[in-house]
Amino acid sequence: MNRAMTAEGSSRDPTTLTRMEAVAIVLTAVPILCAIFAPVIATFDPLAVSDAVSQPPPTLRELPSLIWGVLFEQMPAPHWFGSDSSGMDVFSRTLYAARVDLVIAFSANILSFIVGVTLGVVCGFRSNLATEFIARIADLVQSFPVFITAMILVALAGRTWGNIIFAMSLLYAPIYLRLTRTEALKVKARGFIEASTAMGNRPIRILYLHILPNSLGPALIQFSVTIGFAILLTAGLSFVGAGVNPPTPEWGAMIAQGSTQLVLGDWWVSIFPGIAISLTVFGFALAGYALERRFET
Amino acid sequence: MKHNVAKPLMIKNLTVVNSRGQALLSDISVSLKSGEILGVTGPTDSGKSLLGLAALGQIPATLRMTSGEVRVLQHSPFEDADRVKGKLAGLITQSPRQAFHPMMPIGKQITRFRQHHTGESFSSCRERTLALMDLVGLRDPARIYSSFVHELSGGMAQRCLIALALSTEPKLLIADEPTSGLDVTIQANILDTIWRMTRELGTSMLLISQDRGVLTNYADNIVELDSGRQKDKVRVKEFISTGDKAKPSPATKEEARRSDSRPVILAVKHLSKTYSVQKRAYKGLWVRSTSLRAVDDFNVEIHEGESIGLVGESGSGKSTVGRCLMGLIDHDDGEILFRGTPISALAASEQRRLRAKIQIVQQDPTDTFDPRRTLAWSLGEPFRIHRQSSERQVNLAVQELVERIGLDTSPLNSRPAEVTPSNLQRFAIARALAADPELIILDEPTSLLSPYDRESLLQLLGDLQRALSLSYLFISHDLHSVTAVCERVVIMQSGRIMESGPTGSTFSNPVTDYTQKLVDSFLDENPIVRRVEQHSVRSGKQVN
Repeated sequence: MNRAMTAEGSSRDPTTLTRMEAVAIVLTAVPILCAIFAPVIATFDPLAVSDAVSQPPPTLRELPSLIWGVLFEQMPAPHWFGSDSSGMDVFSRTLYAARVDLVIAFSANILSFIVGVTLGVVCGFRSNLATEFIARIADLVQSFPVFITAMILVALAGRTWGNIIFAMSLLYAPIYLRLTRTEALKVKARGFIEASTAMGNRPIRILYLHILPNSLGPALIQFSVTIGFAILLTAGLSFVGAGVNPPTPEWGAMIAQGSTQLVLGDWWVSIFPGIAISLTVFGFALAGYALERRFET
Repeated sequence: MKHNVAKPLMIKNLTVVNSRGQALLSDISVSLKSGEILGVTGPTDSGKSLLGLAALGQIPATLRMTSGEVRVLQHSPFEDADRVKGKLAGLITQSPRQAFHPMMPIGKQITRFRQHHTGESFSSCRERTLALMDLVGLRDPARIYSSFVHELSGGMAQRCLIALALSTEPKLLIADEPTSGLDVTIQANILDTIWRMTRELGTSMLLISQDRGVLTNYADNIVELDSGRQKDKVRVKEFISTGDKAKPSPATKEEARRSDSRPVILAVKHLSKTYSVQKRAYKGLWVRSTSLRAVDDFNVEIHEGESIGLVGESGSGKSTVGRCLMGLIDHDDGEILFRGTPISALAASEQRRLRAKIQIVQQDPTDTFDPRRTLAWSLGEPFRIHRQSSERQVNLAVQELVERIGLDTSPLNSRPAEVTPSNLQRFAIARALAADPELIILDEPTSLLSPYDRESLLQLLGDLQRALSLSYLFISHDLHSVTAVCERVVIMQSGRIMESGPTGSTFSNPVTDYTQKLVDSFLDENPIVRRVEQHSVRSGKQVN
């Protein structure tokens, strides 16, 4: 078939963003910026208890005058998202929680990315008993239900940040391992690997100069998607009480805390962290999808 | 209705543009007389295939026909699609396996096709299908009738596709690269079959091919396309003479005899390689390993400055030999001696150093460079490995090397995807030379290039050999290239050496039947007697 004809659909200017990419950038940038600038944006200490217990957020009608007051008349800031049963500010806690969730999700992912990609590229490049064994172990780990395994691991090892990160990277490393291994197997069979072997390259040089850079693509795309999953998992663990210790602000823990008050009509304690999780996870998943669309060949 | 005799195909001022308004075909006018075979040729992306599709009214949805008209026997394939497609005009494509439904027996598909277009009863169509399958040279038509497409070889599938296209006795046949995926011997055989069938049925044919050899041997007239524009239609005799200029001078045969006095660079003794092939046994319940002897007792001596051609069909083991010599795969038996030293006896680091003296140029130039690196980086790799020089020195050395070979230095800072295949192949040769080799293994280096690029690459190889006294092991199935480059030739079949000797005498007086068959089925680009004028083709004698 004519190449000019098939190239038709995919031709587009790489410097312009599609609408999907723009949305993805906004949705991933907002939580990251919130996490970084939480001390600047937050109106209260996230851990400060006050007498204003279970205050509802201001109504939409009150909102304009409140914003005006805070910005120009030095009025004290209200609880924008209301306050919880201990009198802690939900808005400030939601902001600070982004720090906890994103730090855990990113550290776990970076760790599993490094481990998974390294093992994956080696397993793809050299096939012998040892690498085959590693690959099968990865399959085995992947066959466990992620949430339950994470819960058990954290429960056994103790509820610290380090343990949560470790448990999650153990569960996510096989994803990167398998993706990279498949890609490395494909790259290994290509002509330029043969050519560089023929030049007298040592195998290790071929591995990091040629095979690694050419097999990274799928893992990088997966990274963004897995960040979303990791946030969900962190929140989920905290929700069932296997995550970070309260009163550390964390989205899942906040939802859990608010869930008992939902029946009393105090919807705001759970809803705002819930929206934060949804948008963030959606944003990272969308970013992964957008990356895939952009780099697919 | 016009009064003159209806032409099987008439295309008038056809222009097709893509969505950006770029003309893929501009102002093409082509017509076929009854029984005429018109060859269409041109480089990749010149619009050849599109012209074939347009004749059937099958312009892809992303493209637009802005002007012109297409008539197949006075009918427009756009308005009268059901009458034209399949009935008046048949299509033979490059990949026959994709033309058949994978889950319906081949014969049934052909029968149904004929039934749909002729309205005859199923049983009479079935009779006709079986007869046709016999005519296109399929042995045991009854068995193939009930086979599925994945059970057939490429050649058999192509024959079935010919039977399908001809089952409705069309007046026009469009053959788009009908044999480019097939082996030489089968290629000639299939083209003979198509030619014979069209003669018997009085069908006209649009034969689309990049291979000049196919066109000069089978077409009556030839139209050349270049980026959507057409050159004048020429008679095939004129085409043969115009193609003569680029022909390189063949290596002198006396050199073959002289070479014996030169020192031996590489000696291969009793080389054998067996692959284990897994086959499904008991209806796929479990896998049974069988061994396949890819190379069996292979012996060759390559002298300094000598080129040896390694010729055979696909599956003959010629590429396996090349890969064993490169040390890319281990051989089972035998010895490879480089300047008298057995390679396998050396330590790994010594082996790597020695192997740099044997370089390879691969078949697919687009796959031979790391897609993420610039050409300059890739070309500098041998310098970095063996000479431990600074990055600046490497760049200078690459620059100097490329200039010395006489290549354009401007693509050096581009990535492989931005460079044309023929240029990439030249840079692949440059990279091989960067390692300062004594022997270069050329594994079908020209088979994916257009005819013009092929000639200039062969020229480059010849010049380099004379200047640097290199040795070549030229693996190819293209007898034309082998004759142009090699002094000696080794013919392989199923892993064994069938025959070897000086190129000229081996091809002019073959000793074995197999070599005779190879020579017979080779489609010379500038034939003295065109294949269709030879007796064996006319009488329908099969080569294999």
